[in-house]
Amino acid sequence: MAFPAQAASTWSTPVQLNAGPVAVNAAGTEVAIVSAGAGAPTQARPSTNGLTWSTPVIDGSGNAIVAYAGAAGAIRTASLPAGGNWTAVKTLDTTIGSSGAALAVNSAGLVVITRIEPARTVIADSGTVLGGLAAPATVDNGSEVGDAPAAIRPDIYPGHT
Amino acid sequence: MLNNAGQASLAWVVGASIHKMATRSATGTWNTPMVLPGWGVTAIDGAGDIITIFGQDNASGIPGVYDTRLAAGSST
Repeated sequence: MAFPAQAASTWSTPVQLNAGPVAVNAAGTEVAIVSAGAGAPTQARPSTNGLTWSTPVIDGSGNAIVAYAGAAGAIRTASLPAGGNWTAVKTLDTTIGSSGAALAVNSAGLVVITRIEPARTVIADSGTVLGGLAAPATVDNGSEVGDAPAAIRPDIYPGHT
Repeated sequence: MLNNAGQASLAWVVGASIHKMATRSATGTWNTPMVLPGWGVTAIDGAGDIITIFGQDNASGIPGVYDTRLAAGSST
């Protein structure tokens, strides 16, 4: 397998993961979600229970946060401090069928999580990766006509500048 | 997309035909969402300049891709 050249370096030997979203910050810290077991996420077990994970995001200090939809549609998050262990899972939304959880973080640790409730209401949660989230804000009340669900475009929101 | 000042831009789609976007100020306030002419993607740079790329058919039904930019500090 050939990989494109990287400045002043070469690609390392590939390490096999059990598949999952991967994030890396400007300092090169990586977080790969490789399991989806019940409760707090770990990095040791293969994903077998069908939970849907967001791509994790990492702040400038190497702290990561990930969101996932539980089996009943509840949106949950967990954080991974740099060099530490996963925090307890927090539930953002217990509305059945909520979807589209997308995360973004900046280098200072501000995180914005957006999600869509079944009635097409777009909700945003803001806070810090390790410090918790403030009360959610309604971005859009989904008052437009149409019965189809809404979706946040996953190709544009995750990431940081 | 979220910049280091805390400003963000977000696009989403309702069903198959209603495409919308909104922006977040550094203080955490989201503006009133606007409807895009077609599918759209959006991003914000470190200075707060927003770029949105969207698709729209012309009068002949030929699809086109357009980009529009909103300078930092502008409101509409």
